[in-house]
Amino acid sequence: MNDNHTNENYGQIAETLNLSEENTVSKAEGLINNLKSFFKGIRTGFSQKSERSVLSALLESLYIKFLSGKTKATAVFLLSFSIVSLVISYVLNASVGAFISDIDTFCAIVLFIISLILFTTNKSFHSLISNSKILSSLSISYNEQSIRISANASHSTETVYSTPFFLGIICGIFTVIYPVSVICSFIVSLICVLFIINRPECGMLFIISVLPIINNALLLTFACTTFLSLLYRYLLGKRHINFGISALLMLISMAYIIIRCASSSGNVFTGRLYLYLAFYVSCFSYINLIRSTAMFRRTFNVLIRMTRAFTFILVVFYICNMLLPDTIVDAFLTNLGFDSLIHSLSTASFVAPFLAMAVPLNFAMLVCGEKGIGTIKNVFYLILLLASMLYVSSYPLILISILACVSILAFYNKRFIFLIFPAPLVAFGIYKLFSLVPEAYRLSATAEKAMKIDLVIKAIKAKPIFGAGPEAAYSGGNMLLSILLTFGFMGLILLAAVLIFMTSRSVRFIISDVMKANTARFLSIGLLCAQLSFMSVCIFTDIYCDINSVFMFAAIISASVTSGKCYEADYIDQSMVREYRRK
Amino acid sequence: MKNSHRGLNYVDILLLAASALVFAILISVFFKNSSQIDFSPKETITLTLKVKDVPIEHSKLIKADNTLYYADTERVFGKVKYASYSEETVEFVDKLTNTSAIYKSPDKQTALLLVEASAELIGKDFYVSDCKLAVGDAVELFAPAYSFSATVVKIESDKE
Repeated sequence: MNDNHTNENYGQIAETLNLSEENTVSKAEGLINNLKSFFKGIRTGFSQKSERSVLSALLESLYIKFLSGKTKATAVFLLSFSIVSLVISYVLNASVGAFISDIDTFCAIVLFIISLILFTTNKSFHSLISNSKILSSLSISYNEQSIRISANASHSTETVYSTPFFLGIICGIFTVIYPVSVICSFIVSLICVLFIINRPECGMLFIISVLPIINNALLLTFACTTFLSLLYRYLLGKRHINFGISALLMLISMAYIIIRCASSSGNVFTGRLYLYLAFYVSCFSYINLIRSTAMFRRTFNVLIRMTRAFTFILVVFYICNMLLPDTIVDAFLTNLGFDSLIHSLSTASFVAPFLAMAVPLNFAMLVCGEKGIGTIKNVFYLILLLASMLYVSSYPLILISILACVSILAFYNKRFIFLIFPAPLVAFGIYKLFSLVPEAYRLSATAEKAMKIDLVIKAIKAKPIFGAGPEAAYSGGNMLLSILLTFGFMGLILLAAVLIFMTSRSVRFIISDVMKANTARFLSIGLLCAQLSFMSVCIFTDIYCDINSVFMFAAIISASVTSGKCYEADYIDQSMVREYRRK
Repeated sequence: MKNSHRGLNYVDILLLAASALVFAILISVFFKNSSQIDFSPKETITLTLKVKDVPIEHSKLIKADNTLYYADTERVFGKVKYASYSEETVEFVDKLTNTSAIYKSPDKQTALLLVEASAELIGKDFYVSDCKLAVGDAVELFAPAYSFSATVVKIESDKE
């Protein structure tokens, strides 16, 4: 009797618990639904307002007008600009005795020649970009109908050539104060920003392609513009942002870094703050921009081309440094305005992780890429990479690269896994062989480690959880110590959590049976190995003292993470399709 | 049809603010300190600086055209004309632990160097007559992505 009574009681309690659980779930669901509908309302309102926005229409029409513009108009602009700047430089040299550098005169002459070449063709920029292999890989195509309509409309006006002519004269007059090269770079940057505002994907592709040679401030500007453009397109409903766990962790990390810097006693806006924020902002943007197989392939191709171009430059730089007297190459590149390129070429915190990333990527291309001429090309670039390793002759770097290549081979055929055992010996042999090259020509990847590590450890022990803050910028050493010192264990745990969550999807795709032994899987494996070897190099190099390395880190992680996602779903971003249909 | 309803709204304000920000950054990136005409009276002041605590790899970053700042401020006051390196034993005071240590150079890879950089000053605040800098003052030398602490050891003017 008692047992029955107790059972009934238990039943009642269970029912009550179930009901309360259901209530809680339904309340939570209701809250999420309310939040969703609230944000949907904001996006709808924003989208409706932007339909009637003057500036939004202006930016879009500027973009279309630029694409539909004829190359002859640009030729007129460049011709008037170059002639005016040449005249001004001659007058200034003759009358005032002002010094105009040879490089600027050279720039003006180059512009003049380009203008003459452009006069021979009367294509629109859209067709020029479409026909160019390099430019088409960096830009996102636009609805051709809109461009044709705009082109026809602009044909009927008389201002087609007069506007660029006068603009060229105005820009030419500015060369009294500013060099031709600066004005040219400014105009090109403005065009890039116009492209990024209308197509955030262009920003991502552009940053990846030029990250070793571009100025730090410009890199940050383009990254921020890409991020803002993505947010704007999201609010318009033309792009999608995935607010998953990794995005949430990234936001928490960003918030932590900002709060930690704000609570420190020193200058809040230090280089370190920008570096850390740039990493998270870039990762967030790239992961949300690579949302289709086509976009992933395009990003991958740009990444590969960037690695190959930089490897080629690295080998040429290295050979020139060996053959020519010291600083001649540096001085030549500085005069041309390639300060950032010299920095990238002569800093181990960029070159070492770059090589660690480039070797597995190119090896994966060799294993799974096209055969025949493609194989010869891939072998050639691998040889170039090996040659550039002479420049940073470091045992850990060589070992990491070999292990990454062996891992790719092991995925290809399990028998190759045994190559892992002789790898350290082979790496040691290569290292000893490379050591025959005089030390003066080599860049030491581990030089920074020589700084007083015991003092750094003492400082970490003093403030282990939240770190010493950005003012304790420990330049050099390795990435882990640097993060521990600046942002403590909290900073390190947050970064590790972001990386683990992001990488898990890629790993799941590789080990799953969805696609066995196909190109997509090997590309994913190559990217994952490149990412892991990049991260391994960070154990003895601090990439967080170099903004170019930080952007490279963001690019490789994003490409690696999105590879699995794109191929697994093999979908096309519907919000992007909507935008194309609307036009 | 669509254009007839167009007018300024909060989207315009947001876009205007963002565009202005990007435009301002681009202008500051390209046109700050890139003027080829010297508007200041013609007096060249040359500073000799000592830059300490720099590993070889980083010291190579100190080159002509690197920017000089006042210590702890963001005010630019000059550019490096040339930099030379000499390998010496230097005293290094660690800012974190406030301890000092003598660094020797056991090999070229680990040595800390004494870098001497001669800098040309810009701007009319820096004539010798009312120069805000004095021998012994601390300045910051900014090479791409790195900032070096330096001490003024000599001030010279071509008009003295």
